Amino acid sequence: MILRCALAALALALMSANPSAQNAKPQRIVSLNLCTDILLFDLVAPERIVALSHSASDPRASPIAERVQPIRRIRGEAEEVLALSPDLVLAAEFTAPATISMLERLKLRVVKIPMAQDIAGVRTSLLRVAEATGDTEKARAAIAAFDARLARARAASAPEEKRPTAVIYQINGILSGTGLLEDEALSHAGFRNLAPDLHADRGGRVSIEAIVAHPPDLLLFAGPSDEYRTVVADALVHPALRAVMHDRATAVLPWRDWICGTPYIANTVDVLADLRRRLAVRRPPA
Amino acid sequence: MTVALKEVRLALGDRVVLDDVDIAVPTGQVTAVVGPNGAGKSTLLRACAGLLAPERGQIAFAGRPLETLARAELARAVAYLPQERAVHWPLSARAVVALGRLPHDDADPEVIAQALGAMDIERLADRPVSQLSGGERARVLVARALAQEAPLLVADEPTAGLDPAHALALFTLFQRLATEGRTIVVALHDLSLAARFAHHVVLLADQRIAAHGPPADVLTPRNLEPAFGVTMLCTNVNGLPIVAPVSTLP
Amino acid sequence: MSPHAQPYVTPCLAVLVLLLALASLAVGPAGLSFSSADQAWLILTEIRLPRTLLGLLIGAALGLSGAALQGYLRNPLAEPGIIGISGGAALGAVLAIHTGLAASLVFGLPLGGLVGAAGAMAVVLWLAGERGGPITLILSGVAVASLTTALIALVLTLSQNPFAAVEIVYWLMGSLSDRSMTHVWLAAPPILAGLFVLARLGRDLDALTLGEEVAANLGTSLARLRLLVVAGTALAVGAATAVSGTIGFVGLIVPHILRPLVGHVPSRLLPASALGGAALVLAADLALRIVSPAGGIRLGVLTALIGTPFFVWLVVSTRRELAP
Repeated sequence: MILRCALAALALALMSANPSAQNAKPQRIVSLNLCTDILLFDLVAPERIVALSHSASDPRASPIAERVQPIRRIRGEAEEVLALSPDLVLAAEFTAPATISMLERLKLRVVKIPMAQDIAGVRTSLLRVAEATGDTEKARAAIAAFDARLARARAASAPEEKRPTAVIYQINGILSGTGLLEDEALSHAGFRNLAPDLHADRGGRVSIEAIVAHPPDLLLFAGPSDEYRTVVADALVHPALRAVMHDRATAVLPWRDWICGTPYIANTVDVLADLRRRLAVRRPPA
Repeated sequence: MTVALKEVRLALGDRVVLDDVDIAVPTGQVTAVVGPNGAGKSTLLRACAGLLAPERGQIAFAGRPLETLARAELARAVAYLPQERAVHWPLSARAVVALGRLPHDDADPEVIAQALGAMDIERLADRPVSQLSGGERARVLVARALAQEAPLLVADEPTAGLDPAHALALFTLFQRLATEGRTIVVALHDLSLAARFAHHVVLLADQRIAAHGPPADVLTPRNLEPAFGVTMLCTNVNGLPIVAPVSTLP
Repeated sequence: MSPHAQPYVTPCLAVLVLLLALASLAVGPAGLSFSSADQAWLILTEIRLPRTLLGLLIGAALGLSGAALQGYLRNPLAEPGIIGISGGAALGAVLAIHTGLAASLVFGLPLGGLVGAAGAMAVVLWLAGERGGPITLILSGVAVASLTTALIALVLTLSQNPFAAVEIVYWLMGSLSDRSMTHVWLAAPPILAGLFVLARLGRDLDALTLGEEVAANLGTSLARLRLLVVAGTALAVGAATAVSGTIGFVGLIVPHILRPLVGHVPSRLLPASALGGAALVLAADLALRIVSPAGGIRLGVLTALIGTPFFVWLVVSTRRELAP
């Protein structure tokens, strides 16, 4: 009897010590894409992350840039990944298909995470990552906190007709149109996106003249105009834009919070909600 | 206007073309430059036109050394007709002739008309040169040189491609211009023409001036045969000098 | 065209350019209905005026330099884009921006374009050699154009700029959209200087019709002419490309169409080509603004779409005369 109990206890101990016997969480995770980097980093302990993509440390694009210093960053080629012996690889839908199929052929576990195009998508993406890493409870808690922040921002919104108008103007003259993540952020914060009124072409482009003819109450520049030395940012500093927005509001909306569909979009919503409140103080809606 | 070359050596790149050139081209005369292919006729003519600086020695125009002449002065002093008859754009004949007035910065229609008349191309004046025959085009280019009204005219084989009538007409014109006081230097292969119309002949061979002087003195079998490597018949028919190649020397 | 009609070509072109410029001021998403006088002033002076002025300046620069290059090289296929000068200018401008020169020096940007254009020209002339025929010249130009394109892509890819791909397209296929008066102030002085230099080469280019020796005999200094052609083209095309990207084929099409109308005389072709180039660029830009007001289709793409078949036709029809 004692022998049977001892054997059972030994078996139990062995089983709990053997990782492959459990529904074990991956301990060597590699992420190939900025968006999955961000979702992953706030979900699991850093010790479980073996490598992130090189964009993760770019402060202009990544909200976690300052915190990923100790973690290795890679370019994402199959050979590099293989050398790290990961037990989970997170990739985006558009990560190089050749790389992904190579990794799958090498018998690595690759999970493709869809990129969130809207706020509902943020929740979905986070849950998918959590399913892969075994942290669904943590994800649900994060989503609840995220929803609470959004609800607070929405609470003080004006009804549709009285909302101030806003436009997000990107480098190369592209406006953020409806149905996009940042467009939803505008709505949650209480703005009306003016982009549909400006008749952008299929690529979302709009000429400066269109904006000058119908200026929004708030013009948001996606990223500071002098951040990158590039000629395609010339439109952001066009004198006509500056003149027409002179007695309206402009602000910079750093795109590191909304370039990827992650819970960091809540930062953007908070920033926008704050801008709206200041606009209301300056010029109460009629 | 006289052209004088003193102890001149002419080279193209590393290759010496002519050496020990000592001639004075007299005013009011037609000077013919003859010699076999490759003897350096074109090079000598370029030097006489002021377009080629000598490696050694001096070239002087009316006593003034080449280096002291301004580009614009030289342009008004010398009219040069190269062997290449390039006309890169299909200008009208009149427009080509008008180019001869560039050194004078005027488009004097009388001079142009005169030049057209002298070369018998008035009726071709408004036709593009690309539509003219080789001989007609050659005459247009001579007319350009005439329109320059330069005291010195240097022409490199101007009769190539001209029919006998026009070749005769051209040399008759050269003679007339000479008697009017111009200096004419002509390179040509037709030795009979040279014998008949030139006052002065320069024979080039073996990178030197083999002979120079009046045609009767220069255009003799003794001078011509070693230079050209052919036996020559030099004779007179009805007062007209004939110089004709007979057969190649062994 | 008969000699009697020829003197009317330039005035007619001038009137055409004026009409196109006026149309360019009138066309835009807001049309001619503005919500206020202030808005009208703002749109007209800060948006449409710079675009019109740049169209005039750049078109004149490209047309005139095309005519000058064709006259100097005695080659109807020569054109700043084809022989690599625009590519060199774009490369110079890219380097000026990405080394910070454009930001630290007021005229840094057009200076970069200028140096790039001059450098490309020097390389092409050296490659083609003194006695290079027309085909050799075009081949040298293609080599330089390919090289500058590759270098532009390389510099931008190495610059860690997430918009590298967009910017590469900007430089290779230029555009006049959303330009401001700043660009006009930057580009106008060098372009006007270049136009001035090139416009005075008429006499020498006429002389060159009969070949280099006759040109020298007629009083042309070949060395000075070469220097002025390089300087004038570098100034005009360098600055134009620096503020708008590469707009090709204007310098090919315009002189070719106008040449028979001016009796093939190079000196008369120069002013006509300047006006013709301005007209072509303004007209093309107008067409684009009507069809795609947001600037999706780029001017450089349109001129390439028109110009490439034109170029092929030219090569085929002059094949015999251009045997190397």
